[in-house]
Amino acid sequence: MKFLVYFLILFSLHNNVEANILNIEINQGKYEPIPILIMDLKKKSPNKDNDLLYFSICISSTIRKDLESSGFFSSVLDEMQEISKSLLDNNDLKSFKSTFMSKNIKFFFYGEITYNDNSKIEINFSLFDLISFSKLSNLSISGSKENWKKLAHTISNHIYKCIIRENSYFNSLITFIDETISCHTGKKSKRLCIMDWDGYNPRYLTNGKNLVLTPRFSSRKLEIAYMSYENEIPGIFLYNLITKENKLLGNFHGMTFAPNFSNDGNSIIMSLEEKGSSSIYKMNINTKKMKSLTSYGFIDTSPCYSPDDSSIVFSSDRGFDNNKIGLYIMDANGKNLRKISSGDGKYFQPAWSPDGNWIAFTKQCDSVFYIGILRPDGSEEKTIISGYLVESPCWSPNGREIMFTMEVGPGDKPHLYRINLLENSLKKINTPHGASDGSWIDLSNKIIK
Amino acid sequence: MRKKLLGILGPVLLLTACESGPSQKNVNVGSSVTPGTSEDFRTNVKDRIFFDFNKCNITPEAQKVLESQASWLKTYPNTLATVEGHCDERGTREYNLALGKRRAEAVKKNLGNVGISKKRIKTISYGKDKPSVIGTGEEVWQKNRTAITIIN
Repeated sequence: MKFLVYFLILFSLHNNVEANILNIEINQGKYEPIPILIMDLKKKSPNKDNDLLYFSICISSTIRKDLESSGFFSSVLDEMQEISKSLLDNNDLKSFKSTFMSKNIKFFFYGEITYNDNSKIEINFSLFDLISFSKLSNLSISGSKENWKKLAHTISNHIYKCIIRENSYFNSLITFIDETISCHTGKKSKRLCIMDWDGYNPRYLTNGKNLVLTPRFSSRKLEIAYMSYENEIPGIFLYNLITKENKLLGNFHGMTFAPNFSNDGNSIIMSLEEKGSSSIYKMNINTKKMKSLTSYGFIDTSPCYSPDDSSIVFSSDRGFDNNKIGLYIMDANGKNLRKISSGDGKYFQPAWSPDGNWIAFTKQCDSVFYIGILRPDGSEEKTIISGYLVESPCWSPNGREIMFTMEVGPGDKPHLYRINLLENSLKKINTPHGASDGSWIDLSNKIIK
Repeated sequence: MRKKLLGILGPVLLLTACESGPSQKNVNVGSSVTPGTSEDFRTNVKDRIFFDFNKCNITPEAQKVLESQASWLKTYPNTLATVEGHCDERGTREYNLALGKRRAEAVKKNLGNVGISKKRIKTISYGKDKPSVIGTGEEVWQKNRTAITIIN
């Protein structure tokens, strides 16, 4: 399917909004979402196309869902649509104030949709701040019909950024392992899958014939590294989303697993197994040169680069007590190795936050699993969630949420969930079947053909 | 007919003649399964050993099983085997891949110690992703903490 997006941005900012834009008040740990009214886009007359009506509803609906799912907004009920439509038609902005104040609505989005001369959808929209009673922005964007959803996510991101003053993740992809179970044999079938972060358009990249595990997005290219049992020696493959090429990373004498990309896109770190010992290796993707980073004799796995690629955090059983599995950090060249985790229990699967300030991890203590975060120096360890089985934490592209795999209880299928760290809401991610091992990438600066 | 009898009885006679082998012999000459095949191995020898939670050491009980596996492998010296290492579901994905491999390697080393050439044994790990027994509870998990020997 072709996804080609053309942006025409005509930007005009009305009024300097003063300090009153947003005050996030955290009262006793409970965050109050900001009420916002998102109008259905108005069809610009004299356009009579029925599918424009369809796009109008779909786009506005997507914007509402995006903003609500972030946890920071509550989309105001439909009852306001009719009132607002008549107010807009009469261009009676002053009447808005009293109507909206009575409903405690803080922000108001409205716009028009039409086809431009190139048969592209064109949307002209405004975001109005009802606190300072001023227009925050007035923009025009356009794109192909097939890309209507990306247009919607771009608008959502713009609204989010205007009000929350940071990037959202509304235009992003998730890759994960889809799990189905045969009714007859009870056997699991695992397939590599990608989809929009909100569950839209899932597509399978493998056919379930071979066991596949732990996919990870590259931060630079639209490429996924994952482990497959396709060959005699299980190992890491690279799948390119643009060319659809699927190739073995390299020929190794032992099993390679737990791949992760460097943020500059030039390297992959992984575990390479040899006679019972799994060590961290780094491979230069271009030259294919391999370098060993940890010594033989332990289980060292789940390596993850810091955002600036200067350090690597990983899980290892190299502690004195063989039952203790902890988190360790080393410089990217393997030097200066030190332990950072200190609590009771076993620590696995570290994931460095996009801003570099936190490391998420899985912890197992007796028969309970936890997702937690701690500082790169090991301090301030906190539990985010605990459960029968929780694992594989992964940060959202904007660092606000952690996605992870969870089985609620014995016999439950695993599913992907995400939790907002500020307002603590837990949401299930919409996958076609059972799902595990998620990885999340922002698409804003990438184009998929 | 005679040749067939010799084919079945011959190796047994050789074994009884060779004093250095272990005392238990699990080759069942009455079986209808073709000797020296993977089916023969599965039918007549215990094909798997079990591990404690998060462990990869061979227990004395497991040791006995491995000795009978070695015995069969010595009987059919042209056979090759793959040892699969598995873990129960109460762990994380990547670590269990490594632990499963450790279990398989422990078996390979142990078989090597009782005279089976390492060149005959391949090892592979499925971590927690290919459990033999579907279900939950310690009884199931215990059965999935295993290394399974399969004749190629």
